[in-house]
Amino acid sequence: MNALSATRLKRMADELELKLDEEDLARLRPMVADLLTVGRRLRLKGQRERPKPRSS
Amino acid sequence: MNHSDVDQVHLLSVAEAGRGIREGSVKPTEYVEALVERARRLDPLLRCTVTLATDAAIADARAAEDEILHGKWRGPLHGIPVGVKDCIATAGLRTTANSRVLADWVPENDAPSMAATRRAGAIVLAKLNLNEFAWSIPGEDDLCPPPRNPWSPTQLAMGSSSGSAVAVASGICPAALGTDAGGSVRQPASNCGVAGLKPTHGLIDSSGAFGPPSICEVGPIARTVEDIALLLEGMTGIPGYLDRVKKPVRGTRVGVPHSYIDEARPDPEVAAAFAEALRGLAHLGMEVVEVDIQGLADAAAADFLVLNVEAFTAHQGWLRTRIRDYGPSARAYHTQGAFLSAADYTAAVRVGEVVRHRLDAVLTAVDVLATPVVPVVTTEAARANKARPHAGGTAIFSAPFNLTGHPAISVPGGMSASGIPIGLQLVGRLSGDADLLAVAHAYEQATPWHTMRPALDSAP
Repeated sequence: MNALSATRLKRMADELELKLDEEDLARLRPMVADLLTVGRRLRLKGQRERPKPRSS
Repeated sequence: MNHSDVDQVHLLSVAEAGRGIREGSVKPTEYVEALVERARRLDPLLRCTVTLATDAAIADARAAEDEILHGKWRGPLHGIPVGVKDCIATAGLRTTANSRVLADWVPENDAPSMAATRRAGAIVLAKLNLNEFAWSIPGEDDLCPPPRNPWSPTQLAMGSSSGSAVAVASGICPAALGTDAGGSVRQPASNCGVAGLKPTHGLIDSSGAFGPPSICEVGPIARTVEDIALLLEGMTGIPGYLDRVKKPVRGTRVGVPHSYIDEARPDPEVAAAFAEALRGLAHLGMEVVEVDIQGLADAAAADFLVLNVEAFTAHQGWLRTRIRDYGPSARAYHTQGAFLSAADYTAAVRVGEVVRHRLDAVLTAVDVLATPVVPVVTTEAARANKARPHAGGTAIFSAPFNLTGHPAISVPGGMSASGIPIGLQLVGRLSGDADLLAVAHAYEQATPWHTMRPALDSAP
């Protein structure tokens, strides 16, 4: 997976209409990168194991 | 204890104060006035209150006295002053969530959990401090700077229901309401030497509390498990928790996920306290067995993913229009979920379903699980973990059960060499809150930890 660049994060924030300054983006970037890694790991696991159907 | 001694009323449990009020030896107005005085004296040091509701609390206490005098006793919470985490809406009383976004907000209506607690007769004494919107790392520049731990006021109390746990531990109020989406009731309860319950998901209506709805519960914090049962009755409107809290627990099977706990590498003092707590449970005639539950670490990570997505979802309007009113940490914490996909969120929810089934299966072979609450002792160590919360961090033992919905309680379970309390977490079956409280009560009564109090009464 590509590393989350500052430019990409800024573009995504702009698309979401979030007025984040440089300091915000610097703080946010490692947090979002971590979260995206977690999300990717959980998605891959989810493809391997399916939950049981609801009992009711 | 002489209930009429106003210098000592802060030591009363909810149950003791409730009996005193019914018998007439404790007057709600005097009780409230004594606690207001205590809050005024201690809060400059502890910083646990956002708003002290002095006038309204005294008026409510007077009304309670009048009702009781005229035979309209509502139950054991009638006339009991409680604190309320300041993200839980209180009608007519400023609710800030410790954010400049809501600095002047006075709700028209109580959150359902608050309304139920008031219907049971409780009085709102104070709105209590928290991490901004219960999801940020607190700082000195927050609307209200973070609460200090009454056991060691040079250190901050763990959050996010920090003010609730501090107020209860310091005797400012006998009980408080908090919210818990990853451990935010249990962690501060553990860190402050009091009991805190995250009830089964949905048992208490948690709307009106600014929590992520899939995983957040409003829960009680108190100095005894008996008081937790009383609060749970009030907050749910369901009787019977108190009756069942003292039921025999000999023969209860306690499952311990040792490999999961060991992988988290808890602080040696936490590990030692936990080992001693397990010996205490065995001494009570419980059978302590090892269990293996795959996926708990994934569930902790998935809980935070869900939290982040739901936090952004709830805050996106304000984040687009008032982002500068959030503190720097809350701004980042509430924004990060915006960058996740629907597939990420769905995967996290699925992890919850898978692990919930596994937990349910394990909880047919054992009655409760036991783990530490927090892998570290101090707030400084917790902050080092929380800098990267997505792997579970400080919430590695607490967050899985938010995602799965199982009830979990922190009870005092030890004391570090530096004098900071250490909690024991017990986890019950879905909707098994009453059985969980019975095990917690038995453990609490067999150990000295819940009787210890921070040395505050020499504080200026």
